[in-house]
Amino acid sequence: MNRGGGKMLRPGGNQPFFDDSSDDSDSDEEEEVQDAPPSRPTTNLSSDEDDDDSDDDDDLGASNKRSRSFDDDRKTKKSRPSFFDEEAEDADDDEDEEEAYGTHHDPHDRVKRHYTEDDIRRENMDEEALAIINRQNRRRNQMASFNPDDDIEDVARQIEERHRLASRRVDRTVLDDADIANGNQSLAAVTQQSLLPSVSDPNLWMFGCANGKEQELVYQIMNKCIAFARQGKPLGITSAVAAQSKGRIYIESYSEPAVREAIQGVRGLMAYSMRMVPLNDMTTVMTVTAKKKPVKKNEWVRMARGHYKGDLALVRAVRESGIKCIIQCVPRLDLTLSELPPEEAKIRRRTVKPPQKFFNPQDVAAMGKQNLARQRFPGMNDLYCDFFEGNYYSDGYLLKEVTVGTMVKPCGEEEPPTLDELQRFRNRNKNEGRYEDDEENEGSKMAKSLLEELSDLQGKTSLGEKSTNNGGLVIGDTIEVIEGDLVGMRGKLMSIDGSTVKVKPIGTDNLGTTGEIEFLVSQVRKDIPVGAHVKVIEGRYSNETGVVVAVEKLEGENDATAVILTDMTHKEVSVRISQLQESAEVASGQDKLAGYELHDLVVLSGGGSANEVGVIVRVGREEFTVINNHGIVREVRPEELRGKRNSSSGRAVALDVQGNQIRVGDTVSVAEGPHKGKSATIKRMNRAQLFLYSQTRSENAGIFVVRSRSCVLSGSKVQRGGSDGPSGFSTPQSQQRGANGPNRGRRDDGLIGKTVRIQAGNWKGYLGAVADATPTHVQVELHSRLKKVMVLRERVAVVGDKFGATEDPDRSNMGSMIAPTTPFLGGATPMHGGATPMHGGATPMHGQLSGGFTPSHSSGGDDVWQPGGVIDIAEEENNNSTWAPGTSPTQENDFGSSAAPESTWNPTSSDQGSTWTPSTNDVVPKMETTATSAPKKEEPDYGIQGATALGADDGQQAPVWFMERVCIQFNGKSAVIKDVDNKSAVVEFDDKTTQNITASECTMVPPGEHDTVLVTGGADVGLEGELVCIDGTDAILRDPNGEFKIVDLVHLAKIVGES
Amino acid sequence: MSAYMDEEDVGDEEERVPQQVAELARASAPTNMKGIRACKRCGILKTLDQFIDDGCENCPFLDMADNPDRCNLCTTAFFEGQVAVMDPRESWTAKWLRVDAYLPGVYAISVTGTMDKEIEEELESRGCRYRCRPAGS
Repeated sequence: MNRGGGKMLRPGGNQPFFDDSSDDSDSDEEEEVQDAPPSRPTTNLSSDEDDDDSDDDDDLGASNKRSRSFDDDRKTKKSRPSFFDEEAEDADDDEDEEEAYGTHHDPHDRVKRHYTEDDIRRENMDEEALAIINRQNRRRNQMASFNPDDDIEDVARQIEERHRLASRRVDRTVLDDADIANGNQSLAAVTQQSLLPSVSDPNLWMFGCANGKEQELVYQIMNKCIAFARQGKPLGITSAVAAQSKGRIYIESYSEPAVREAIQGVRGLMAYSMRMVPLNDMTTVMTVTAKKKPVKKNEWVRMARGHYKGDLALVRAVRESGIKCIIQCVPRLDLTLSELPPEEAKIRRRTVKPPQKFFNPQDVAAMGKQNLARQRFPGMNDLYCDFFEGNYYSDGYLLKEVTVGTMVKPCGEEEPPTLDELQRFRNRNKNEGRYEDDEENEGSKMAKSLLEELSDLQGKTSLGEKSTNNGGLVIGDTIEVIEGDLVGMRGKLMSIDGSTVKVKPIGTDNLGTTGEIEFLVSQVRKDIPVGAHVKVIEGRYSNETGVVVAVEKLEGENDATAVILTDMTHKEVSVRISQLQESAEVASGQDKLAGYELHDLVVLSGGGSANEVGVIVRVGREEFTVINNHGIVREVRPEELRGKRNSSSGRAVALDVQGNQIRVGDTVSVAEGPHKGKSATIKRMNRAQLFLYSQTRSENAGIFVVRSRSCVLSGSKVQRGGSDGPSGFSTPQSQQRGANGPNRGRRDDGLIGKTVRIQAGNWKGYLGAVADATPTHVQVELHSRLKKVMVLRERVAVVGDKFGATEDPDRSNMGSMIAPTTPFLGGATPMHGGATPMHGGATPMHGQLSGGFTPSHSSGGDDVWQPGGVIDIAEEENNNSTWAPGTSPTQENDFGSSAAPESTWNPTSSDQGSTWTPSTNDVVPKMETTATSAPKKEEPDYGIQGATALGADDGQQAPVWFMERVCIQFNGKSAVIKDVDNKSAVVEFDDKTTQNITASECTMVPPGEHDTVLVTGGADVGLEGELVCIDGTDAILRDPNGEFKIVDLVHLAKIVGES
Repeated sequence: MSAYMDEEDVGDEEERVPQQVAELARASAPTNMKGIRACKRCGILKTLDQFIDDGCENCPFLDMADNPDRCNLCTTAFFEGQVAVMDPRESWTAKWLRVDAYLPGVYAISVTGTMDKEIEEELESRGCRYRCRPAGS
């Protein structure tokens, strides 16, 4: 008898088996009594009695745990009412039973003690044991027909035994249920942990084998073991494992020779590759990840075979617990096949992949196919389908029962449904009106609802690699173990190394866990509690931040979904936890979308008004938040935007309440309206609407909208203007400016580009073009040298303007300008004469006039700087001249701080007139004889003359204070200006009567202490406040922010407080 | 002492082997490579036909024998890993999979899926615990 395997079962070369022969007599006896089933090896049956006895006797000596647990096992099993056992033990039974409740030596007592120990593994045994008992009883009852009389005691014992087991079972069930109910997962983890292999466990040996043969080999070994066991010659192996390691199987045994014997004759196993698995790797061997997943209804799957390979399909129903399913997909039918000869059809079937096309019974019928029927889909009662060539078609889709895993594969994250595919499902309903009864097509509906999720899925694919790498884990994250022996444990992520992470458990002090535990990345999941502030690090909602309001665990998925209330939009979005990261950051949105950026001035197409523009104050994932020119904030999609207007905004010039030119980048303070008192930078402007930006404001990204007329330019560059902004006059003015580009502005860039002569210093006498200008210096690019020099502003004289319309951006400049005026003006006339042929030059009449051209040209003595560029430059100059005479005096001389504006104004304008008029006269006659286009050129001149006249009328400019809300005296009555229109205004008297008066008719009410006043000049122009006290010429006022300002009293105008 | 031990061990072996060998002798391995199902409760692997013919030896109360519908409900094709357990009492793998109290047989390492609500209740009312073991446990 070959007992080699059996003998080696015990570790450490334990005792050889009991000699069978010694039991023979007993077993024979038993066999005589009882017809033992042939499958039971009689040689082994007899041991019970002897064993029992020896067991009881030797128990004290059995100090090693191993043998004890052996006893336990044995006793547990023994406690089963096995007929043979009973027969054998009959004599001892009473004694046994008594001892069972008394002494420690008793095996039953040991059983009991075993259960009171913490050996949780054994806990399972009872229910299982009970099950086995039941089963075996049944089996034996069937198998054996014994004399009931012999069994009375047995039966009693059996009942008692069963009762005991049952009560124990209940207890433990209660305990376990309590554990589960408490969600005490870490205890469960510990439970599994207690099963870790120890030295007393059998060893695992690894064998190499052919890939894919693992399963088969394990079954083979199993079958071999069973066969040997039936012969009564058990192989000494305890298990064989085919886990998920490819080309490897493991055999577990106490002894190596047993393993060798077990694999003897097993083909496909490489015996020479035998290796023992170290103790700590044993659990790894037993680790598997679920690859196959049952499909669920309404899940997307991909076809795996045939022409349909790769096609998207929808699971309509699941059959046979997820092994099979009915899928719906777009058919690939080749209707031409049946018309071909069989051979060709065969080839074609194999080679040509028919395109996806919805099944249309009419088409099929039209082709003369007869085998078209309408019948129910088997197993789906109320679903009528077109049945054609063995396949069912519903609503154009193919319905088919397929095997999961082979025919279809779940549509995993690697290959999510694409937009295109989903649309193919969705479009079906739109295209086909014929199936109106099938309107509620599930596939279409599903596709529709999934289209929403799609971008999410797509986002995942693009970032899929990243997420598979580490699931978005970052050191410091709180994680939860989702797989393996410590499932449910929480810990803090200490380090990541490739695919393994080190975790420090949280709250496991009582478990005595020390240090860090290593896990595979796939075994842990980020754990984000409700209420955490998180940032989305990838996916569709990337870069959003918010507060987690809920966490939903997905059925059958490792990842959970968190619902986040976003900071920016206060919307709830669902994001996978792996895409989240706890963060205190508050997102401010993205930078760019569809080419538009934050703070872009955009034209809006949506909404009512045609000319709606707005500034982007937030760039979302798919939409912008825009504040439009009415200050209304709304969300628009990129498609609604019709381009940017940043550049035109950059060129635009508007006037503030005082008539100052304001441009993008200027700092203004708001003088009225809801934003009164605020100071901000002009970010964008559109017509008279300013989009102001203040860094101190958080709403709408600091942007707010104010009318330019409600603002006052602030800062040192303010030019106090005498004009209170007669709108009728200034609007065309500003338009002209805007059109003409840099003229003379606040920045003195009017000088830039001009030709100047340096009047003093090293470069005295040089001519050059002004390359740059500051309030004090100009940078002159010398014509004669390739050099730029910085010259004091006073030391340059503009010579490039031939019309005497020199601009004096600064009063400081005025002095220096006086000197060149006379020669300059003198030179103007010939210059203008020179200009005239230039017009001619621009026309076909050029030749006619060329004779006159040259002399006149050269007569302009300073034309050295116009080499060759006569026409262009002169034209430009001419352009400037069309408006310059009108505006520049108005701006400069009038706005200057001189006490008598008229005095500067009049001479200049008369100068202008005198210079201008003759020149015009000079031109016009010539024009009459020459070009037809010329009068066109002249038109602006008339306009300007008109403007000049207007300017002259303006001799009585409205005073600075002539503004709305200012208190005035009129004919001894006090009134308040209600509505200013140029120099006249509607005033309201105390008795609420109104009257239209002009500025000259009234006088300002001098402000007194505690009056509400408006600063009309100086650095704080535009400021409103309460006049606190007057100190000589200074006034102290308190602005709305409670700050005190000292202002010249003359700059103050009393106003009525804002209602 | 050592003599005692020897004696005991000898007896132990003798007693154990018949029991376990007998169980092993009665055990059944899947008869086919295809159509293998795992009992959702104990995780034993057999073909569907075997389940229908014999039921599950560990879970007779599931009453699968001669009841194909029941077999479909209580077994699943979604499992990972196979362990042929010849000696559940001794085997560490059996212990690890918590099938050490079951009969010899081929067991799945992990079983996916959940019990039917109905069966779940039934099992609970019987006081039987079941586990559709998650992967890796």
